[in-house]
Amino acid sequence: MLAACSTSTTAPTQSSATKNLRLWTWPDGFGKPVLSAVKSEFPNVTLTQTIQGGDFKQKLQTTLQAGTGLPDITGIKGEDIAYFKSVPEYFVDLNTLGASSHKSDYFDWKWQQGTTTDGKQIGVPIDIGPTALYYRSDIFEQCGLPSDPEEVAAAVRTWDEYFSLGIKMKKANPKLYLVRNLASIFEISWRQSGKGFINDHAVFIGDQEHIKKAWDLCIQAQKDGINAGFDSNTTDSTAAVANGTLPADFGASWHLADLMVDAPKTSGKWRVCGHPERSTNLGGSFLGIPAKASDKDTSFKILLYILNASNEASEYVHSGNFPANREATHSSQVTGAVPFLGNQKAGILFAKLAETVRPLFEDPNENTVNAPFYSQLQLVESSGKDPKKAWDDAVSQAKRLAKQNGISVD
Amino acid sequence: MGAALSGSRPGASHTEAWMSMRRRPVRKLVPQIVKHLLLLLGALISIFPLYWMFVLSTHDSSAIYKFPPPLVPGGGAAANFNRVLSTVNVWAAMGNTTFVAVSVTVLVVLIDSMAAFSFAKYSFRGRNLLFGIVMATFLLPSQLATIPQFLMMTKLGWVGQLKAVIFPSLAGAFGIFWLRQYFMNSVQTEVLEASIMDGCGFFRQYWNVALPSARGAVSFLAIFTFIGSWNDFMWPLIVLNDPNRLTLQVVLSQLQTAHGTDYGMLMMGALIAVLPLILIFIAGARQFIAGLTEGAVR
Amino acid sequence: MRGKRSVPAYLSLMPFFAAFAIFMMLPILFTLGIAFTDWKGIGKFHFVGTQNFQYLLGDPLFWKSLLNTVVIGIMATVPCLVLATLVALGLNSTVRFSNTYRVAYLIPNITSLVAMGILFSSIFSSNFGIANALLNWIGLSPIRWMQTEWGIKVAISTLSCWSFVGYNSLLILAGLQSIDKQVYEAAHLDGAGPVRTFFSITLPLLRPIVIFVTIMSTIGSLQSFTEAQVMTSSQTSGSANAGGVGNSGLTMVLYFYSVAFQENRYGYGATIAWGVMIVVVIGTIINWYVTKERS
Repeated sequence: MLAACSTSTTAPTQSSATKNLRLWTWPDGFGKPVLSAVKSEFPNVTLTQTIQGGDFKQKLQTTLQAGTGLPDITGIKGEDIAYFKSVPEYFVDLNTLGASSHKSDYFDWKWQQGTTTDGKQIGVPIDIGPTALYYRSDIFEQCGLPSDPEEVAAAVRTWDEYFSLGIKMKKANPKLYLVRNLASIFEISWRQSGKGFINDHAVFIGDQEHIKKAWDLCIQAQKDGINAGFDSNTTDSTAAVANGTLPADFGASWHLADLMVDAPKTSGKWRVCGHPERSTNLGGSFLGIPAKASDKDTSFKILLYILNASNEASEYVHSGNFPANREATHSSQVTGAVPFLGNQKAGILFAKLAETVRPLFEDPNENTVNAPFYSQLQLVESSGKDPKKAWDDAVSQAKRLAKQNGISVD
Repeated sequence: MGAALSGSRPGASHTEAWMSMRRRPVRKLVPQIVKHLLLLLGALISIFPLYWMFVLSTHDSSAIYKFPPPLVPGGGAAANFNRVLSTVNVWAAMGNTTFVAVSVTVLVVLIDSMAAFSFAKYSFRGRNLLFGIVMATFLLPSQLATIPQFLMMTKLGWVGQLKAVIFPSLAGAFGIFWLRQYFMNSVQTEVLEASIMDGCGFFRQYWNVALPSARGAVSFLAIFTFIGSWNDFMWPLIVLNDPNRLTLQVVLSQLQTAHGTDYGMLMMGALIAVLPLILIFIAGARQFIAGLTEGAVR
Repeated sequence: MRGKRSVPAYLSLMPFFAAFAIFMMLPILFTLGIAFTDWKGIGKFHFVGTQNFQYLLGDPLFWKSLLNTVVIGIMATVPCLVLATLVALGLNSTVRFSNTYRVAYLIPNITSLVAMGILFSSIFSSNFGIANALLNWIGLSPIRWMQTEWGIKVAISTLSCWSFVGYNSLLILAGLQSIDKQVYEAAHLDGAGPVRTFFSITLPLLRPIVIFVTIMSTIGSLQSFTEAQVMTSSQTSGSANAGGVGNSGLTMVLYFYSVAFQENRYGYGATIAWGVMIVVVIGTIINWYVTKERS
């Protein structure tokens, strides 16, 4: 408030009064460097960041439906963008404010994730989550496996190679596993096909070859005995990461933060490299403007400013969110050495991986329809359910769900 | 030992009587000790989660994943405490929560006791039907009403305000169910008749006769309403969005991040939120335990 | 007391029924109405007739959630009531520290469920949990609790039981203390032992409170949600994957929550709400019938 008053007195040439704009994010939100940069760049605007705890999507959705108490700029999580794209009337089509001229600043596939099928731009990307393989170089070395990131990447170009590496490791030390759980392979491998479970004509395609191929990879990992079968976010799985039972883990760029919290004592022993086949994207969010925002032009200017190269680079330092802005990925803040990864320059790798990610069409019902597959894989790994029966059950459950949600099923 | 014996004797409750051990003090001692040990074990098991919460709030985040887990306090309490304070505005939230919980408690006690008194002691057309409706809602999980409730708050223009948390809490039926039971059993119709002779109207009967005689049951209702309101989580999270008007549980949810949750800080936050509750609880224990005893269904 | 004095009675009910009508009745009716649409939580309503209800009847996950709710409810309620009765008997005959004990036993009821959830996940973890340490100690092989159907159900019902033993024991204690002492003295003179006294005197006299506690627990367990939610995490937001391995911890209200709030299928979520309501009403009628039959 004080800052706002002093601004309006020291800058009398700018006749417009101070504007109060509100920005909604989830924990931890944008860091102080970015917020103060906004403050000095837009002296006539007071931007208040509100951090909403709990289920952010639910909060945004109810408020949009209500139509009052809306923020001027809002975060939209990557997993929710497909849902909000299905109701574009609640958001400003950012192309009407000139967003299209900034398209080339961001990774193309990420930009597309924020575009509706009829070309409306709902959000500008904040960050991306290119997936990679994190591993313990010391344990790999002890097992007589390659340990240098380039060597490991070269040794695991295909999933088959990765699984045989797992078998080799198992021979060296039977207590070790190379896969956290089947879902961790599945979520990457079906995305690698570039297609999901529902196509852009709202037809169910989850029973097709590309999903079956991803499924079979998981079954192979289970047969090879290299799957630990730990649920994510459980004590067992975290402990396995901390004590080295699970010396390798797939994850997006932001997964580094999880590892650092879960296994602080292993700092310096981890490395990261490309996982088998091409990288995919997990997570990564957007900023958008609700249709009822009061000053759309100013909001959009601030939005673009927050998401410029230097601010996205500074966010990488603040929260570990890897920039969606291509220029930001060349910033020294992003390409610097990461002590937790033995001073490896992880940013350079993620930027390289991000170039290989394919665009992926996501229907708002995607998670509803693919859940049976995850659920059945869990039964395969935990209770030894027959994989063939599990596949059939997953497909028939998914078809029922698809039909009920207005998706055509052949 | 002797003290323990003589200490328990004057209390000589019926259980001791039917255990018929009064004449055999030595044989009585063993079951007494066993009983106390079992009760103590149960009490320890009950308190353990709270204690463990305290322990974790004094360690750094990774302690939760250690094996064996830490069982004694560490030295990180101050650091965690400061991180909580620098991340969220706990004191303002505590003020808001206190305001909400006190308002809800006072209103629920007044409204429910009044309605319960009518249901218990007055017969009027539609009484059974109305009480049936009250009971029916008691049977429904409150989650079912969440989304329309939010739309309603929008229409009223209450979204983001504390009254949006306070007023829906008044629609709960437990208080009526509980107090009606009590009034039926313990407020004697003769006393009421007498007070009518003295010229007392409905509200004076309620205020002067019914309420005073139900002090225990009312304090039980008050404490559990207060606790429920203090810990209420899902609805405030949906309906509150003004950073200056958040309750503790909403503020605590902001400590939980998607990646790399800081458990030390989270537990410290949870501890700060529950401590005032425990103090109130201990202070009020005598009252509401008496309330439970008196309000028993006879 | 009829006649003109019913006016103040109606007046006294007004505040409650006003709050009740606005904040409970209307929203619930609205929710039930949504069941006839395919509303996604935002945007327009499209009437779809009884399509959601037809789907519900043939939805294996709904029936599974109903079965889970009943099974977890029984697994939580029965041991909880037995333990609560034992604690109440112990407290009833104890003079020293009795208030301290009572406060201690009620602590789980006010401790944050988030903290309890984290603690219980740790207790039932496969490699580091106390539960498996105990199994090991008595010579049994460890169980991957959260990865088996019964393990998940045991873990959830233990948490639920833990939070309610103290509360229920206080209610039962209240019942015990209202029993006339002379009854026991008479029994003692007749030479009845403690066990016989309990079953032939204490328990019958406790009937009203036991029925009250049972009804409350039944309602509570049919609505159970938070325990299952904090104990089971899922890899995806889809309801088909909710409630842990094989949906073993998926209760009816958790299914509703997952369908409506996580998948945005409010129309179908509301249909599940109908299902929950019908089940609770049937459950209560059975409860009422059984109680009436015996008394």
